[in-house]
Amino acid sequence: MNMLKAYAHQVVSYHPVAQRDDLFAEIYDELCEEFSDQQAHTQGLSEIDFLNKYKQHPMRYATQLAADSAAYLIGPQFYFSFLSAMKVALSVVVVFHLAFGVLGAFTSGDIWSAFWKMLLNISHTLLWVGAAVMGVFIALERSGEKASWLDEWDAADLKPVNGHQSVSRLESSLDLGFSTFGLLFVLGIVDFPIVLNNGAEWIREWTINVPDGFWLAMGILFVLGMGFSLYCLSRTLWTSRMRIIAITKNILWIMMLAVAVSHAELLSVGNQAAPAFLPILEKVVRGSLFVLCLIIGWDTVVHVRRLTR
Amino acid sequence: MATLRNSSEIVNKLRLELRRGALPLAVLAQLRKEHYGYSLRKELNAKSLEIDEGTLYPLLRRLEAQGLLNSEWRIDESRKKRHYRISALGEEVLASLVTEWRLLNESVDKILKEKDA
Repeated sequence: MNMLKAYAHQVVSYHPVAQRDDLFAEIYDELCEEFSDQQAHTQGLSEIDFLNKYKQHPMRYATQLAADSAAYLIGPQFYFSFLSAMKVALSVVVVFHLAFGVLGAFTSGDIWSAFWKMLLNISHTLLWVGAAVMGVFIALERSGEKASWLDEWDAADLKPVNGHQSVSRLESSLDLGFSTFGLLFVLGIVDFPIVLNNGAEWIREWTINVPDGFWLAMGILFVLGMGFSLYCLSRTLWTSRMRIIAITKNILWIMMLAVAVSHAELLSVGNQAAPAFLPILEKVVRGSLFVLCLIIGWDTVVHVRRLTR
Repeated sequence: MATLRNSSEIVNKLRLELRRGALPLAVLAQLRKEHYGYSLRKELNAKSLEIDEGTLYPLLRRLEAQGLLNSEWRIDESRKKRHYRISALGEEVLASLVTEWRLLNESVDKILKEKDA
């Protein structure tokens, strides 16, 4: 009954977490009974044949089951993932700005000025990141409206539930939040609020020194990261293919971060005297990138272990 | 102008609308005896009232939310099954709906007989 379980899992994945257990039990029981009845009439009927012949695409079924729920701005497939992604993306922005606000207050000794600058910058970034995440989800939902692929689905594409790990919505949302923020940064639409104070003046023009083509490569990785995290948000269980993609993505990121970490003179200031704390700041940035490499490396090891199990 | 193919599509849509209106009544009446989801579907199908699972389960949830049904989870054949039964309030509402249905039937029959005459 693995394919029937996979079908039921796929259907309930489009519904709120609180409803999933009960909904899964009801749907799975219904599928098992109907399959048994159909098998009695049709010799050699497989689960895949049964699902293809008698059942609709899981998303259609999930949409019917949600018929009495409140209207969605974004379709039921993505609504809860959208909420999760928005919360995480906006949290990521707030955390970054708070961190730099604290840094600015520390270096300038003027807490109110640093706090005020942080507020001005944060609203700009929040607006862009929120708009970007919303735009992506609306585009996805609109593409689903005319999706003829819903009528051409094949139950053989469902992954059987055999000890597969469930995809963490929080992790996927974090990934999406970071990737969206990163892409907007690379495109110059948002900027880190580096408003550190060098004695008498605020330093605004910072340059991150990296090899040519680095930003383009990062932009591409961020776009791929956004696509992959959106795909993960629409899935319930990890598959081998998803793990291979995650491992490849992680390896590329480690390589990029290693290039950044090993680059001499990572940070420089334009048109102003270099502040005394610049070497310390560089060490902090390199250290942070190195820690990030370790985290991504650990995630890669976990994926490899689960893939090879 | 409607072609033959269009008119059968129209008939199908209207037929579904007609049936959809009768479903709550049929489901409440059928649940005077306890059923779980699939057994209820089979029972209704056997009485020529076909209903798919995508229609039935939201209807059951709605009726339960309105207090017209009670449900209980039980383990049966090592699977969890949700058994439904009409509630006391459901019985009252069913009685009213049955009266309404009979009145509606009479009215529509009168209209149809006038047309035939």
